[in-house]
Amino acid sequence: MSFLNGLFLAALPLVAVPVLIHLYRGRQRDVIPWGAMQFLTQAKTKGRSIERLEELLLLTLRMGAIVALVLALAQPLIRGAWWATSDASEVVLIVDNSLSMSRTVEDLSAWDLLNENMNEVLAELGGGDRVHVLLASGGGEWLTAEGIPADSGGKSRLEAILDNVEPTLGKAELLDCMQRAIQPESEGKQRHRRIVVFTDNQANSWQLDAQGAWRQLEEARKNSAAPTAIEIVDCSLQESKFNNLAVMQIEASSKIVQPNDSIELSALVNNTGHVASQNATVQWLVDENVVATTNLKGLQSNQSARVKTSVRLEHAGHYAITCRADLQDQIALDQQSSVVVEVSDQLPVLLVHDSQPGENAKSANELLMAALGYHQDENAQPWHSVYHPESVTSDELADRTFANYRCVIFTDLGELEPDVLDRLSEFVAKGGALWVALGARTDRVAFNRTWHDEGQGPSPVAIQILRTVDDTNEPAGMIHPPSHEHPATVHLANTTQLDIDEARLYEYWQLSPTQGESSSVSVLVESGDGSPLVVENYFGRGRILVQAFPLGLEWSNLPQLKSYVVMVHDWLDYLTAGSTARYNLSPGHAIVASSPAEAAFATPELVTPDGNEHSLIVEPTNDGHARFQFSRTHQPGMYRIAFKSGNETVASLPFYVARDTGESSWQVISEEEREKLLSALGLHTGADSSVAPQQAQAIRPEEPIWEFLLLLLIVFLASELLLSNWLGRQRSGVAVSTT
Amino acid sequence: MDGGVALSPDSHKKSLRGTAQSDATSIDSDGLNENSVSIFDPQTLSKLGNLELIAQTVVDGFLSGKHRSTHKGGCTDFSELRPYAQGDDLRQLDWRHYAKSDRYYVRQFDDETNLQALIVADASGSMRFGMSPVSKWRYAQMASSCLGHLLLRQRDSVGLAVVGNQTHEYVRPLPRANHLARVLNVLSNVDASGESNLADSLVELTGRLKRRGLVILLSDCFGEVAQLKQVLEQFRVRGHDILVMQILAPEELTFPFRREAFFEDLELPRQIQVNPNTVRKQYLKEFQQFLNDLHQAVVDIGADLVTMTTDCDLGDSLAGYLHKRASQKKTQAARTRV
Repeated sequence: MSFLNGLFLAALPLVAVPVLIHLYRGRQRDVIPWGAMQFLTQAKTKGRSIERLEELLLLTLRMGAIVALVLALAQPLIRGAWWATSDASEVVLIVDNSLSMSRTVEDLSAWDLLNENMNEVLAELGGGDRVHVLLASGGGEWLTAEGIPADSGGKSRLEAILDNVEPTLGKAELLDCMQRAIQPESEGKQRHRRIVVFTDNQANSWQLDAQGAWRQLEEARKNSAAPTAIEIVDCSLQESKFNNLAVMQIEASSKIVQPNDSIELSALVNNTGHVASQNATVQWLVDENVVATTNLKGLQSNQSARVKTSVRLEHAGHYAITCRADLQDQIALDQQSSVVVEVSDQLPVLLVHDSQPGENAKSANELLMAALGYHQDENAQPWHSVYHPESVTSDELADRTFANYRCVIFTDLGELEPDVLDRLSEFVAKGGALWVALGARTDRVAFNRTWHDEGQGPSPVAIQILRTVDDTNEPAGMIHPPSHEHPATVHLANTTQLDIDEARLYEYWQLSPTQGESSSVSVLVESGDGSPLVVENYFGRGRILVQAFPLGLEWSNLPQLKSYVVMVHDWLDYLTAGSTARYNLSPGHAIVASSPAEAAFATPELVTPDGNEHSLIVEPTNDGHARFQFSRTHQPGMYRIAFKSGNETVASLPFYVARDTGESSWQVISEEEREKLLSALGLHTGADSSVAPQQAQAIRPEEPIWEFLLLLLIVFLASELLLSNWLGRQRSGVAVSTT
Repeated sequence: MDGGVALSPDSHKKSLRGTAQSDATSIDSDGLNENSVSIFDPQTLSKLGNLELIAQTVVDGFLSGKHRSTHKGGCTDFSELRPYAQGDDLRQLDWRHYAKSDRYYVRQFDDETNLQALIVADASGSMRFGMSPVSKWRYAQMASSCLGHLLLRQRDSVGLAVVGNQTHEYVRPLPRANHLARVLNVLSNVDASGESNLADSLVELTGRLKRRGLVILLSDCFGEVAQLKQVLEQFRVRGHDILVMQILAPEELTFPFRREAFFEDLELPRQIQVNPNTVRKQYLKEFQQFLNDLHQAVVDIGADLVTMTTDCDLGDSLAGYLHKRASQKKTQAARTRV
């Protein structure tokens, strides 16, 4: 028992007041001279014991009234089965439809078991109960907009709704679901809330480490307007050897390629089972068409392997490439994974340069365009990169719409109009890429004030000083070979094939990251003495790269090296990855897309992994393009936006939401974790409290009983009044008549 | 004489109020407000102190005490005619009737005699009780003085016996007017106290009354009803009329107490602790039973019972009884004629 206002218990000694009054009045007696003593003595000898009993009863009622009042003010909460009334309940069924629930052993799946248990629970419900269904996969999704009465019609309706529910690729967030189930206000007159969780008790679903969230759940349950009981129904299958081969993820060498470019694909296949897997066939599919097949030898338990292939795509567009393993195991849904790649003829890139003609033999602009395969002499360079540069001066930026470009590159940053800088910041924040090379045109003070702005601007670094290297063979004038770990410098790090180590710097700006941000800023390249030369960081949803020297030959010989071309391509790939990442999402990340040119006037419809169709929200943008957004991407799997003109699909955009690979592993909560879970839910640990298969565990909440106490108070007071009135009538009699 | 026999309630009320009005005027000079208090209110009478004055105040003007003799004689109050019998006095023959009917009838008259009345006042301890304006004993004193004054004014003989455990005063009945002073003197000098043995005291009195007369008992009559009945029967056997004027306090009839208290016996040295709430009903039941028994006993022996409470107007109580008694006599006389 606990009390919400325990301070009122200090008033409990008041219970002695009736006793004290009784004793005081007993001591304070008058002496009355009396004549008719013969009648008084006769009357006194009768009914003395009954009189004492009546007085005791009155005293008890008065004391009881005080106790009931004090306890009611203290607002006690008590946990006990006999407090639970038979009133109708609001029942929330939390259904674990995560990937692990599709596990099948000998033709019986955990999902079948869940349906059986759920039907049993539904059958037990009374007609006054109202039922809500919350799907646990992807953080919780209400299956019913409002509670369905648990009468015969309502149960039939519920069964029909639940028949259409299947396990998904998603991960169950049971803690979040329970929090959501506790929060809603009761719709009807149901005084109690009963939350029934149907799950296979995968450790991955319980978030046992989130201790703060568990405490919040317990608090929410205690403070819930309706007393809430939580039951856990274990739907796990009988113990058996877990047998599962899962395709975890696919990596592509580039997610943006030109038509007919080769894409190197690598799929990670893991045997998450407890037994060795058999040989399997792995198929590669592009938009459901098999384009390659690979054989995979059997893997030992917890052994993984990479399956590789290369694909060439002829036409521009967005393609979903899927890797599927073909074999029999206990979880079939995780035998495939996908990735979306973009094939494009050209990706526009904006080059901003202010070099005067004739100032240098080869300007940075020319060098960069040459690196991308765009030379003044078209015949000399038949090949060109997917990145199509467009060269402008900084004065022309006022007329440009940055959203039309994948990346904006400043070869030697000069002073910009404040409006241009604001639009650039907005461009990057929305997912654009920005490559800023500093140089002789850069004003240190202006840069630090506007671009860095003490960490609030788009640049992650400020400029300290301009360093001039006298002897380029000194470490300060050399470039340290970059790291293999960073995806932007994987190729540059290869000094055997490339010549980054031969680069020499004559001058460069010494950069200094903002205090406290050094950990979040990636240094791609640094000098031989450790001074950062190229740094990059996220700004909003896009990336910005700041380079301490210009992209031309003014301060370094880098453009003369082979590494320059690789550097330009790799860094552009890296910077623009944010735009391709829009098609390869994590659960919960919104799908944002624009209409392709060929479907400008078509109607977009989104098809989710479970086959449902949704209309998309149209967002007008500043650049005049219509943009569509869909936020409910909690379910992993393939989403597609079909642009329809009438009944004809004009264009289609695939989006892949990656699944949680932890669901492929079979890890039931341990005994220790089970105790922890029961404790967090307020269950007493012990032999009876184990979460046994197919056995519901009811957690009786502490229920408020002050209404009952107030009722008791009224009963005590009414009884006291009635009894004293009755005794008064019994004892008063009728005055003697002398006539 | 004829006026007394035919006393009507209206005439007596008129005279009663007239007297009260005149006396109240004289009392008002002592500071009493005639508009707020009645002169016959026991509390007001008690303030007068002097019993003789009280008696005059109450009795003057509302009764002229007339008592008929039960002996048929030669007085002027015609009673009836009866056939002549040998030995009758020829002077009593009704010649006029003889002339009409040719038969001899003798005229008979009610004889007027002096009434010998004995006022028996109970001065036991229980009579001392009085939470209301006056105690029962004081009320009995005032009632006795009124009755004495009334009777002596009619030239009847009035005696007084004060009975109780410790007090035995006896003043033999005399018809003299100045005899009232002695009666009142004895009354004034006695205080109620001690245990009541009313029946035993009355037994002693039976031997003292030589002539038939009226015995007026002023008492609360507490004690054994059967014993009292037995003694009163002895009076009746000796031909006495008996009037029992029971004087009670209103608290004894309602038992209005609420808080637990010690009740101290006025007759015996004892106290009992009583919660009034718990005994009230039973007490009232016992008391009612006692009154019923007493009434039955008095009726059985052919006596009259007047129950008065000390908060009641003394004049009204006496007048009411006398009026009722006069009516009964009148009815009785009418039946006799028929």
